[in-house]
Amino acid sequence: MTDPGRRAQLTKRYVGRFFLSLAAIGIGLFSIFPFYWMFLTSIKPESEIFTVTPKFWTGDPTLSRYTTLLKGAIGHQLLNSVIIAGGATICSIVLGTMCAYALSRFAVRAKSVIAVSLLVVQMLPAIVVVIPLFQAYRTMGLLNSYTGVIIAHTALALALSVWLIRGFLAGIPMELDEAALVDGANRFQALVYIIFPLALPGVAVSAIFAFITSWNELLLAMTFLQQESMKTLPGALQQFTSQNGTDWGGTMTASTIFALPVMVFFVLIRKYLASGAAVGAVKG
Amino acid sequence: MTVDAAARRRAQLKIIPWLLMAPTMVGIALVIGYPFVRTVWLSLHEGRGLRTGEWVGLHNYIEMVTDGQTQAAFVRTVVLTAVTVIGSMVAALLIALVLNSGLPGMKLLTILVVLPWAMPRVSAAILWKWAFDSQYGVVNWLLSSLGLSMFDGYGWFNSGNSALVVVAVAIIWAKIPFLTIAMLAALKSVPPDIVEAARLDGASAFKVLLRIKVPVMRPVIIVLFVLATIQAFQAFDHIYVMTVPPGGPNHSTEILSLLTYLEAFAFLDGGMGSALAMLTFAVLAIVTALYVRLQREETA
Repeated sequence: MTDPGRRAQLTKRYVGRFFLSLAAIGIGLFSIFPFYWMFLTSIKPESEIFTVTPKFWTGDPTLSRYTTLLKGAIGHQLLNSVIIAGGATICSIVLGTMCAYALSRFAVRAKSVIAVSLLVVQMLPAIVVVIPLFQAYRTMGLLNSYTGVIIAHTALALALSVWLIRGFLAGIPMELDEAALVDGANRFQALVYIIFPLALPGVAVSAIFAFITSWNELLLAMTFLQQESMKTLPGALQQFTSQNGTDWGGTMTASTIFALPVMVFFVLIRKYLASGAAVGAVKG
Repeated sequence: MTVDAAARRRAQLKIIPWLLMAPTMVGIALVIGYPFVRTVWLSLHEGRGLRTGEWVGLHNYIEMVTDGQTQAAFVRTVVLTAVTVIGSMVAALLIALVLNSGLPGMKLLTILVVLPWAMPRVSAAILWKWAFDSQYGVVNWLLSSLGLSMFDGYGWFNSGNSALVVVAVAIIWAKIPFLTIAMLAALKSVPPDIVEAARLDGASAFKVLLRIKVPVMRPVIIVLFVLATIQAFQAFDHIYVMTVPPGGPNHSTEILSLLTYLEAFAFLDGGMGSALAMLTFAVLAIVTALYVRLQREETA
């Protein structure tokens, strides 16, 4: 106990732990403070937003911005975002599961070529395809429609979906399919009733990736949806900024409305996310 | 009868996978493949208000590489990519080390670190812009309370370079969650007994990190690095949302993706826009090719 060497070692350990804790607190603040600031700004009265010394608390919270905003266009724009992101998510996991199943369960010729080209597609930036796609959509009348953006967002998310789901399917033994087939199920039934439920974590992860991709996507949505009533979240948030400045209270309120559902969702499914990120990073 | 059934089954085995893959392949070919070929084609034509004009050969490309504005945008894009990728990778590694330290409360902290992932990108960009507001921003208040009086009322968005600093902070903040979670997963795969043995041999924490942990994590770090580079190089949203007008003041924050967008949809020159898009593609293709080669060498 009184050994000086051991004591020095212990002291060093405590000092190390102290700095580590300090770092942890710093990291936590850096992660969480923007959320707090966003929410606080959204409920502050206008006079407290514009103060040279920031107020980190408000004694006079107001929900008036929320009620005004929700009565206006934002409810509709939220619905646009939900329809488009939801549609793109469903399309990309249905198509992605089918494709991943084919790649993992059948002896397809040129399998590795297909898998690699999917990755290459994933690396193509949207900016490379946006100009011709705009022209094509204009000809086909798909501008300012849900369908056009859902198709584009599905294509953006699809390659990664296939890749992720394939990673999870690889861990499900082939014997399960074969047993189902022997018992008289057809391929479709085997996929839907046996394999799909087992691959659910993987499907969930790729659903989240697809949803976030679409929910956040600004370039295509902004280019294809120019009508006010068709705007999605990123476009909606842009409206608070004009040449004369930004309506900070309004922007922060709209941001909170759009961020809240995703945040709750994220906290609920964080376990799946971690495993998905690991699989995606190791195999992708 | 049985021969027949067997033959049918074999035929099925050949057709079914292609049927299952068809929607994905057709979709990707139509939405990404065709437009990509079209972009190449467009880049060799004059663009007239997004309609295809006359064939001009490599004229757009020549104009592009000799144009000072494009050159500046290219350099800016490379610098912004380098800063955000290195910044977010280093930050993510350090945060992952803290999360992996076994201190109490790290589970909760992991959740907090993941949260920014859920923040819509455009919301986060606007929020950072607000935090860096010259008069009412928290950052200027914090810096000047720390005694750096030069930041009292400092206009971050008045010059290109300082505006890009703010944009870089916003991009790094947005990238940290995914990178950290992936790095944490890789850190957990480092065998603890090797670390323990090295520590008993008197290796410092820094040495253990450099000599043991990083080498084990190397494959994951390389993949993340390539992914982050590809994403950062095509970053568009943050610049578009945070600078007013997009790319301003006075074109000083224009990056390649924004310039492409402006050429095509503001100046309505689809030919030039397509040539710029091909430049982005060329850079990303080189990055990807280098990565594939590196990977081959590793496995060989």
